[in-house]
Amino acid sequence: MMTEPKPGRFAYLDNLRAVAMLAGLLFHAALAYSPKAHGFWLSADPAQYPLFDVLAWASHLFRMPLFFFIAGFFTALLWQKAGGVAFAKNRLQRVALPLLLFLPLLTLAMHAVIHVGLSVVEQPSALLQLIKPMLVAGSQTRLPLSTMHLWFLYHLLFLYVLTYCARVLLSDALQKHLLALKSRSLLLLLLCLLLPPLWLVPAPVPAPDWIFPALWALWFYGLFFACGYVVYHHAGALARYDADRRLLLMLGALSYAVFYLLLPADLLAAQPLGWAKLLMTLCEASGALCWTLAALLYAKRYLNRSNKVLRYLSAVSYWVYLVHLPLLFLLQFGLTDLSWPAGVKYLAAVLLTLSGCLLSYHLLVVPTVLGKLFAPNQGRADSPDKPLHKLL
Amino acid sequence: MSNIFSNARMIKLLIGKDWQLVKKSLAAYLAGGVLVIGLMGMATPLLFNTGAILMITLMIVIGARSAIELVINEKKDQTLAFVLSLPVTPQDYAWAKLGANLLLYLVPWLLLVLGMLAVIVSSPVYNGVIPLVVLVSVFILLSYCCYLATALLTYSEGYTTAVMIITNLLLNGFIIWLLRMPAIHLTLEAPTASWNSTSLGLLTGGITLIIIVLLGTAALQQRKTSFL
Amino acid sequence: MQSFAFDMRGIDIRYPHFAMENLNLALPQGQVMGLVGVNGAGKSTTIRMLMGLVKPAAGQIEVLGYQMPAQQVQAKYEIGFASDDMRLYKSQTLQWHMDFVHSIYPQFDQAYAKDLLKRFELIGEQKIKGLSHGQRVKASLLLVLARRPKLLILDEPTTGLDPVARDEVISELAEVLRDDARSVLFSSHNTHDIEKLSDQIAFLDRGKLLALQDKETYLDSWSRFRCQLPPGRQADITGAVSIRQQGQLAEIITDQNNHDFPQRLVQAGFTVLEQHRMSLEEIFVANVKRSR
Repeated sequence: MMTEPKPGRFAYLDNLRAVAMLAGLLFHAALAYSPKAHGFWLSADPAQYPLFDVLAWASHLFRMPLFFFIAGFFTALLWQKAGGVAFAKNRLQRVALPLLLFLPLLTLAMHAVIHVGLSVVEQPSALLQLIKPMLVAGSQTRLPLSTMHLWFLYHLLFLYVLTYCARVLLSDALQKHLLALKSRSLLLLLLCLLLPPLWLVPAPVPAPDWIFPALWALWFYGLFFACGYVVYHHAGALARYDADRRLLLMLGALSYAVFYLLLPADLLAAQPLGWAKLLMTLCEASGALCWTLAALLYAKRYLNRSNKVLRYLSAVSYWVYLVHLPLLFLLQFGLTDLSWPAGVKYLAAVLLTLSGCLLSYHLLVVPTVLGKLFAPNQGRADSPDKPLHKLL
Repeated sequence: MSNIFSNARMIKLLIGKDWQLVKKSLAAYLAGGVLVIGLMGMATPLLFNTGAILMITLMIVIGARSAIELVINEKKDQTLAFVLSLPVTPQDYAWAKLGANLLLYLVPWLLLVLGMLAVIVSSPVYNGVIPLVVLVSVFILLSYCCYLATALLTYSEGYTTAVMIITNLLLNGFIIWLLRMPAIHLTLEAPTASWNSTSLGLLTGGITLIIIVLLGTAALQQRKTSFL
Repeated sequence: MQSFAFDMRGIDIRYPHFAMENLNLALPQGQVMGLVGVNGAGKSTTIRMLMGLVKPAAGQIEVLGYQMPAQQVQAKYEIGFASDDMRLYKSQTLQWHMDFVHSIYPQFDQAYAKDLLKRFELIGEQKIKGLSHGQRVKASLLLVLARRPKLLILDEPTTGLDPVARDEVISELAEVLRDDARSVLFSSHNTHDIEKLSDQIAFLDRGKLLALQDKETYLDSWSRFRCQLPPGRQADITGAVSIRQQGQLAEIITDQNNHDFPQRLVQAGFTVLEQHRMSLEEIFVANVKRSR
C-alpha cells in the first residue's frame, strides 16, 4: 500500500506561501478588470466588473503580510539550523541573485511588452497612453527605475539586514516581555504599531517598487516578518489564538467591508481625509492583521499536509510569481480589444499565463542551472526538511 | 620580510575578532543606514537632503569610531599585549588591523557611493554632478586612510584626532575648491556625467594618494623594531 | 648537550635612558627561573625580546629552538605569555576569550580550562569589565595555562593582587610547575613569590645581570653575621658584601658563605654572635646596593 510521505512539520507554511504566490497572479490579473484600478493599471481593460475589486483588494489586504510572516518564520528557522553564514549564502542565492538576474530581464521584457501593447491595442489604458510619449526616442523624461513586482525580494534583503541588527542589538528579554502580554493586549499593540506606516501611504497599500526601500513598507511588512520570526521560536504565540480563529475571520471581514466602502471609486482620486482616513487606516490594519492570523490558523488546521499536488505548487510558485507579469500583460493586451465579458477574459488570461509560466518552468528551470535557484528540491520533493532549502 | 600570506590564518582570525568587537556598533550603524536610505527614498527635497547629510555624517562617524575603537583603544585598554602574545608578528597584526578597518569601512563607503549614484541616475538630479560626488567620496576615503594610518603608526589618540579634524576641515575647502574650478562647475548641470582631464586627473591623484598612504603605512610598520 | 627553553647571547639594546650590554641568559628546559629586579631593571625589555616584540641591536635569541624575532610565529604557538599590564577585552566574556584562544591553538584543553574556571572561581559568562583585578589576572592565566604551553613567560603576574588572590595564583602556579617538561620564566619584584616557585634566580639591575644561579646554592651562599669585634678594630674582611659597624658590634653580609668564611671571621679575631640565613629580599637589596 502506498503511504503518503510524512509532511514536514511546517508543511502548512510551505503550502500557504505557494498559495500566496499564486494568488499574486490572480490579483494582478484581476486589476485589469477592476473599476477602481482603471486609472493606473497598465493592462486596464474596457470590460470591468466591481466583483474583481471586492475580491482583489480583499486578497491584497493580507496576501503580502502573510508572505512576510512566513518569510520571517523561515528566516528564524534557517538562521537557527544553519547559522548566520550559511543563512547569508542561502539568501544571496535564493533572493539577491534572482533579483539581480531577473530585474533587468523583466524590465527589458516589460518594455518590449509595452511596445507591443502600444502598437496592437486599439483601446489603450490611461497609463499606457500616459507613458507613450516617454518611449519616443530622444524623450527627456524616462520611465522611473522600478523594482516592479520584485519589490518584495528587494525589501526582504533589507529585512534580513535589520534582522541581523536586531539579533545583535536586542536582548531576548524584550521578546519574552512582549509574549508575556495577554493575547488581546498583544493584538491591540500590533494593531497600533501597524497604523503609522499605513497612515503614511494611500489605501490600499501601494507596491513600494522604487529603487529605494520604503520605510513604511519595512515597518509594515517588517512587523509581520518579526511576528513570523518570533512564532518560530515560540510556537505558542500563534497557537493561543487558535480558539479565536472564527472571530478573527469575522473581524477581518467586518474591517474589510468598512475599508472597502471608504475606498474612493477611482483609487487615483482624492483619498478620505481626517477621521475617515483614520477609520480607513484602522480597518486596513485590523483587516490585514486578523486575516493574516486567520489564514495561518486555518492553514495549520487544514493545510498542514503534503501531497503531490501541493508539493508541485510549492515547487513552481516562486518561478511563476517571478516571471508572470510580462506574460500576463502581453496576453491582456491581446484580449483588450475583444468584446468578451470580463470574467471570460480574466479566466483566459489567468489560465494562459499560468500555462505559459509552467511551460517555461519545465523548459527553462528544471533542466538548467536555474533549477538550483528555483527548484532545489526537484527529485527529493518529499524530503521532510524541505523548508530549510526553499524558504522564500 | 613577512607578507600577508605567510600567516593568513591568524590574520583572518584577528579580523574576525575585530568584527566581533565592533559588531554591536556596526549593527547600530547598519540599522541607521537603512533608516537614512529610507528617508532619502521618501523623495521630498527636505528629507532627501537631510538624508544625504546624515549619510555623510554616518560615514565620517563610522570611520572615526572604527579607527578609535579598533586601533587606539587596543593600545589604551592594554589588549595589545594580549594580541601580540598570540602567534602573530607585529607586522601580521598591522596587516590584520589594516584589513579589518578597510573591510569594515570600504563596505559601507561603497554602498553609500553606489547608492548616491543610483539616486542621481534614477532621479531628475543632473547627472553632471556625478564627477563631483565621486571626487568628494574619494576625498572622504582618503581622509579615512590618513587617520587610520596615523592611528596605526602612532597609537596616539591625540594625533589621530588631530588628523581627523584637519581632514574634515579640508573636506569643506576641497568642495569649495572643486566648485570654483571651471572644469567642474561648468559641467554640473550637464545631462550626462562629463569626465574631463581635470576631474579625471583629480580622481587619479586621489586614488594614487590612497594607495601611497596604505603602502607607506605597511612599509613603515615593517621597519619598526619595537612594539608595545 | 643541554637543551634550553631559551638562550639569549650577547644582547645589546639601547634606549635613551636605558642600555643593556652583552646580556647572556639561558634557561634549561624544565626549569623555573625567577627574574628579579627593581622597576626599570630591564625585566620587561628582556621578556619582550623573548616574545619577539623588541629586536635587540646585537645578539642572538633562541626560544624553544626558534630564532627570535624571525620565527616568532612558530615559537609563540608554544609560549604562554601573561603580564600584569596585559588586559582582556572589556566588552566580551571570558568564555568568548576562551573560544577565541581555542580557535587559535588546537591544543587548547577544554576540560582543563573548565577545571581552572572552577578552581579560580571564575564564571565564563561574565564580562571582563565586571571582574576584579585578581579575577582578571586569573582569567589571563587560565587562558595561558589551558593551552599547556612548553614555555611559560609571566611578567609580574602577581603585582597588584591582594594577599589571598596572590596566594591562590601562586599555589596554582606551583601546581602547574610540577610538570617537569614545562619551563617557566617568572619576573617579579616580589621576591617572596620567586623564592617560593623558582629553581633558578636571575638578578637584573640597570640592564646588567648581577647573578644567575641555582636558587638553593644561591640562598646558601649568602649569610648575615653579627659579630663582636676586639676593641679598636675596624670591621674589614675580604668576601664581605656589606658591613655595618656600631661600636664593637658589626653586621657583616657575605655572598661567599662557604665553610671557611666563619673561620676567616674567627681568624680575624671576630666573635660570631649569630649567623642568619638571608631571605631573597634581603639578598636582593644587598646585591643592588653593592652594584650601585
